[in-house]
Amino acid sequence: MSTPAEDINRQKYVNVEKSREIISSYFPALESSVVSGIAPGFTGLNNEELEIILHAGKGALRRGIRVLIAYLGDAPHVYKTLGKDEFENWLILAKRISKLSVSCCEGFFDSSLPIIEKRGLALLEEWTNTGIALSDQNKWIAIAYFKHTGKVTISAKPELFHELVKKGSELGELNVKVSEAYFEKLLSIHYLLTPDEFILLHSITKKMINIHWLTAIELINLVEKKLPPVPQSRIKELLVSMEKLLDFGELTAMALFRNAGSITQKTDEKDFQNLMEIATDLAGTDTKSSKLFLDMIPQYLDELDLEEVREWIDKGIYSFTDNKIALRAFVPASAELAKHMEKTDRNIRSVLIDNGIRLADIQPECVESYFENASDAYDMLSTEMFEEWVGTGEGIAIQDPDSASAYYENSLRVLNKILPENRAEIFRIANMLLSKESALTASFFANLGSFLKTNSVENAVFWANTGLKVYPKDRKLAFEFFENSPSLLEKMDIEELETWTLKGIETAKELKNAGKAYFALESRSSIEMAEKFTGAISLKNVANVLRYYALGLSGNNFVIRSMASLPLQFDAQQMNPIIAGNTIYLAPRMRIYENEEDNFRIYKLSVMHEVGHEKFSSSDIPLEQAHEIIEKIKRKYPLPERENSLPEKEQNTETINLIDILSLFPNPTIAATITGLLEDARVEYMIMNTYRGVRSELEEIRNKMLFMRPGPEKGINEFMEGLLRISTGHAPVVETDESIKIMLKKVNNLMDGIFQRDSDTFTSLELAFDIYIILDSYSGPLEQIEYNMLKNLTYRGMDIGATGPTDPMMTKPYENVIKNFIPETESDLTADEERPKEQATKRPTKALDKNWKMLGSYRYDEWDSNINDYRVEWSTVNEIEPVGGNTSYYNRALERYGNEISLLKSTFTLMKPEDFRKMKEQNDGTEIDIDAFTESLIAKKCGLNSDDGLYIRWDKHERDVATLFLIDVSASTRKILGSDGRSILDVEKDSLIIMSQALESIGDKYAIYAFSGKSREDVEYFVIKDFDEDQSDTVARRISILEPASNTRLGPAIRHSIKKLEQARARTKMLILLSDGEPYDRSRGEDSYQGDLAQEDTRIAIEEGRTKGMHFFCITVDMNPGDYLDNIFSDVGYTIIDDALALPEMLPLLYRRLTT
Amino acid sequence: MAIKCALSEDLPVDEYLITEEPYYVPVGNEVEVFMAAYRNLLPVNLKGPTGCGKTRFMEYMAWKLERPLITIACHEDLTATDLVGRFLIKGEEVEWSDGPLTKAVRSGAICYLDEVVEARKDTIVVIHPLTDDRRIIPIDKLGIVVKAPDEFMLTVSYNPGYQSIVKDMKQSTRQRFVAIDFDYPPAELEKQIVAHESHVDKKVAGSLVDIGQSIRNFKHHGLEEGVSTRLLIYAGKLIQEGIEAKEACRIAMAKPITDNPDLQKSIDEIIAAIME
Repeated sequence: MSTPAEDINRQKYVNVEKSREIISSYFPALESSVVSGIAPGFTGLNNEELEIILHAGKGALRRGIRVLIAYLGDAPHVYKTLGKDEFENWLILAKRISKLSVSCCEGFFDSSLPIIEKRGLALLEEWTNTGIALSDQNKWIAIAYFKHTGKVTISAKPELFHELVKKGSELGELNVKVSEAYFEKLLSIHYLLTPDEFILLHSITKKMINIHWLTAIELINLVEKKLPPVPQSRIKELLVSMEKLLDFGELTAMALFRNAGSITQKTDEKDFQNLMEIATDLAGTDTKSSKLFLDMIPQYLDELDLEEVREWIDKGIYSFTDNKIALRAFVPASAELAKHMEKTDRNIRSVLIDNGIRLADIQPECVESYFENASDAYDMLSTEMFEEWVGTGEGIAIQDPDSASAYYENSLRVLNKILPENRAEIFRIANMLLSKESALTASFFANLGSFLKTNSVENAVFWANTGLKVYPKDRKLAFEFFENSPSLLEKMDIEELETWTLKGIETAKELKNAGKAYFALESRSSIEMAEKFTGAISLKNVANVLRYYALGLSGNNFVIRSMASLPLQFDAQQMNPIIAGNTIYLAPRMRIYENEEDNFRIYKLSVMHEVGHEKFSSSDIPLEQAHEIIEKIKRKYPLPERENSLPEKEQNTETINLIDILSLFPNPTIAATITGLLEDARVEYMIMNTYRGVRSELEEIRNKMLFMRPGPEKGINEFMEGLLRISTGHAPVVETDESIKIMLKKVNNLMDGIFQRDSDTFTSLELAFDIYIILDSYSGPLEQIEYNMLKNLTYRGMDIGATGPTDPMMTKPYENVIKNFIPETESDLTADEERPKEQATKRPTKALDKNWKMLGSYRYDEWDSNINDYRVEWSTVNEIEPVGGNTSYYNRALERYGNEISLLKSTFTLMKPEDFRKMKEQNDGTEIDIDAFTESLIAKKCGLNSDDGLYIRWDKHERDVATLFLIDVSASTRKILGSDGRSILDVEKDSLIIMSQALESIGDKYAIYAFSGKSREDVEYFVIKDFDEDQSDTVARRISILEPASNTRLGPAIRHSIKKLEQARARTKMLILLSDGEPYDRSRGEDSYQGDLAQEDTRIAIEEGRTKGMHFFCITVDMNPGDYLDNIFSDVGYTIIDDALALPEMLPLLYRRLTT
Repeated sequence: MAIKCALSEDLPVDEYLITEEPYYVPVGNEVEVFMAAYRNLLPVNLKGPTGCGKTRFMEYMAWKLERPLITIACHEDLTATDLVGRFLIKGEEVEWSDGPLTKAVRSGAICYLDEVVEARKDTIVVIHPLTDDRRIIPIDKLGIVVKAPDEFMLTVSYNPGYQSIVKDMKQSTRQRFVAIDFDYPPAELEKQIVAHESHVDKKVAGSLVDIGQSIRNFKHHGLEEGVSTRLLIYAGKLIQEGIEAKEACRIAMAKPITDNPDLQKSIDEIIAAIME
């Protein structure tokens, strides 16, 4: 019996705190976090109710914690909804469920509250019973049912729900997994489909299960994604078609389903039927083709007429009954035609299709690129040429499908540049090459474009024939030839190329690999041979000379750069020099004349011209003079509406810009051209006066260039051309019309006005004004006259502003015109900013990984013993500074070797030479050598004559050694030595730490670098300490964080070290290499760096250093070094340290031996 | 037995006297400054690039002051003994021989240490007692101290253009001298000098100076120093001798100052541009 107090207690509603407490006491197994999650559900219940629920929970616990948690989460809410009595009923239901699996229970508890709330306990009971029945069929199906169908039963009518479950159960008979998926997706299926459609889908699913159950699952899973885009009215139609297609297998049907959205949206019923017929026909031959068709067609439905497509496909089916692979290539590729419908009509397309079918029969792989380009080809080429085009491709395809694809992709671009009448010739050559090997033809076409940049079609035959001469030697060489020779032809003519080629063939005869490197333009002999023929001069070779030239003449540091580095729309070869600040951009190559000297002269004059501008010309006119001319212009052309853009009274300026003054003319463009031409002529006059030596050259070049100019157009241009000629001291063009003749005559008389020693830009401007008036009086008014701007003489520069597209926002469009003639050179720009930096071709992996600092990238030649020649600029050394980390390793090493270091320091200090060394018995000296003197006196007494060597000289003996330590940090240095777990690299690092301590005490110059290499593109060179750097924490830190990586590409690292040593100032220079094995890296093919090749390259690299007077020494810890040490270092010396752990102690001793 | 070796025979100090007026055109007030320093017994440091007329200036001043001029070209093997003096063996005896510095001190001459930074630092220390108010030179081996008469003067020359740490003057030495800056003369003056020294006409001299000015633009851009007035004069002399003008310039101006082929080519081109 309970006490009244307890009763009251029972009536009390529990709060969260309390319920948490009680739940925990009932179920100590529950984690407190779980309890906290559950407890809030119990608020609002009294103690008694709480206990009823919790008590029932004990039953749930028997099924496990998971069930209990699900129960406790659900039960209080159910209780609150149903009340005590009904709750008991619910508990009975729950008890029945609890006999099923845990997951079923969970599903039950999750779903019961919503079902009860919406439809009452009765439905829950029915739903549960259905589920229990299913569980008799299969446990897994029941789980899926309980988990996912709660919502369905709420929304569907009971009969329908019953039907749905029945269908699911039917599927379950066929395949449990499918049934599971079905129940999982039942909610969306139920929403998306009408009952009729549902039955269709169900039957499709059943058929699918028979083909493959996985596809059926995929279908069910796709429903909620693929069906919504399909218009409601079309779903049935779609499903019916799917079912039909299913006769040919699931592939086509699924393809249709996947693309259902776009297909149904883009077709009406009739088109859809057509489409289905095509798909069915295709499927009849090859289901995969049909699938490809259905995948491809949606995106082209807007362009293509299905009737026509049907025709194509029928042709395909007809031709490829036995060749399914061809059909599969043909079907999707043919749709490419849809991309260029405007270029073809139906008949043409039919022809293209026929050709495509033929090609697919030969080589299905290249059909796609054929169809991509066929429309363009037909559009561009004559019918006959088109046949040739396809035929050549077929010829290539027979042997090499890849090349054929490339051919179809590339050839049109080239053919487009060739005049139609010449195309036949190209195909003749192609056929000739085809008779040798199809890949040759492909290579020919691939490179024809670059060939034609420099040569005419006529030369192509010669080119191809030269290529054929290479072919018999080695077919690969011919490919290299076609690929690389066009770049050579930029510099040499086709006959010279032949000579170059013949030399290559000779080289190849001796050594096969050498031939390859030769034609790939990698070997030194190849490049040198090519350069010999270069009558043209390339800017690269003379840029330095030109820079010095400009510097010497002007005192300003001009920067000379290639126009190729500018983003220009035009061919850089054809442009005038471009000036940007103090940078002069010149054509990358000069070949107006046949010999180098004359071509250089043009460069020189371009530079001279700009220097002249900088020296003698200024676009800022002094205020006083400016106002004078402004007044004049205003008086002559008062134009109130233009209100002139010139600020009337400038506040602080002392000059007015030329552009502002020119803007006052009614036609500023014409005024600017006149001023520009006069100023150019004046500047050149000044140049010739100051630098008399260039007068004849300048005049000669001007003559030639004027001679080469095309005749001017009529009108203003004719006058301008005349002005250009007069201004350079030549007669104007002959056949001018009368008024221009008279004008030019007048102008000619005025010309001397600017050719004065004390002239300046203002002088030109004044004369320009006079000439403008003359021109205005004869051909005026000039205001409305349009005129195409005159192209100045090609060596004269223009401002960078003139090269860009005209800025629509520019208020003064004639500004560009002025810039065309009068570039603004500013000497105050810092030259360094604009100097091109050496770029790393590929960022080194290590620097990238570690975020280390990249200091620079250097290219080196490498010796290839296979070709007996250097490969030019073959390897890239990336100089990297290790960043980050701390000095702990360094400090530990100092501690560890404390004793050794102090011992070494004292021995090394002894090595430090005295400033002076006493040299006795010298012929000359500062003191008398008493011993020698005595001897001599005695000798004299004996009648001997020995006057020699009576003095002592104090000679200073300086120790002047610079040593570079190069340490190998390749991955093999990871190897652990001995018992204390230290690796080779650790030992190397220790050695250097000790060594540097010893060196500091003796005062020798030294540097430390480490290297490793992945490939020729990425040889990493780590800077630990430079020669001019002091031993510091930074150095200590860099040593500390070094770790093993990559391989040992030794040659380039040595070459870079040589470069470093060259810069060191010392009498004796030495490189000490710490290595653990032979040079090699993992590159393959011709990049490979192994065995003899790597050894030879290293040996040659060392030889290069030795000729520069450097000493080398190699210390290796490789205990089984094989032959390589002898091969590489026999000339310079090496030592093997058997016990690598002794290296730290050994290195300083070795060093001492080497340097004293 | 005291037969003097002909090679080691001392030149009498009078031989160092300059009797004819050397050609020197003052650029600024350097003559007045030098005179003032001389009167006040101050050592002088002439700073300036090679071949700009430092040595000529010294000759001119020695002539003007009517003092003998003893010039010592410093080099890195120059020892203190070389400056002060040493014992020489004369047959069976030894004989003391004054070094040039001692000789200058004894005779009250002007001692000029040319390119003083070339000398070893320890050597230069011997001049210290001469350059402060003591004005003495101790000769250890003889155990005597020689005091300099008022007529004695010490000058050094120094080319700051080297800018090498190894060849820099110690502060303790630097601060003992007053310094006069020298540079290449201004264009007009240089033309006059070149014309006078090499006997070429004004026009050729003008072109030579123009070339020189252009080449001097390369200083710090590939050249340590510009071309000296001396080289301009050499070029002029070659031209006067009948060597083709451009060739003479190349021989005297382009080739001596640089081994960089690009730079040489540029200088060639500049010569070709300026020389007619």
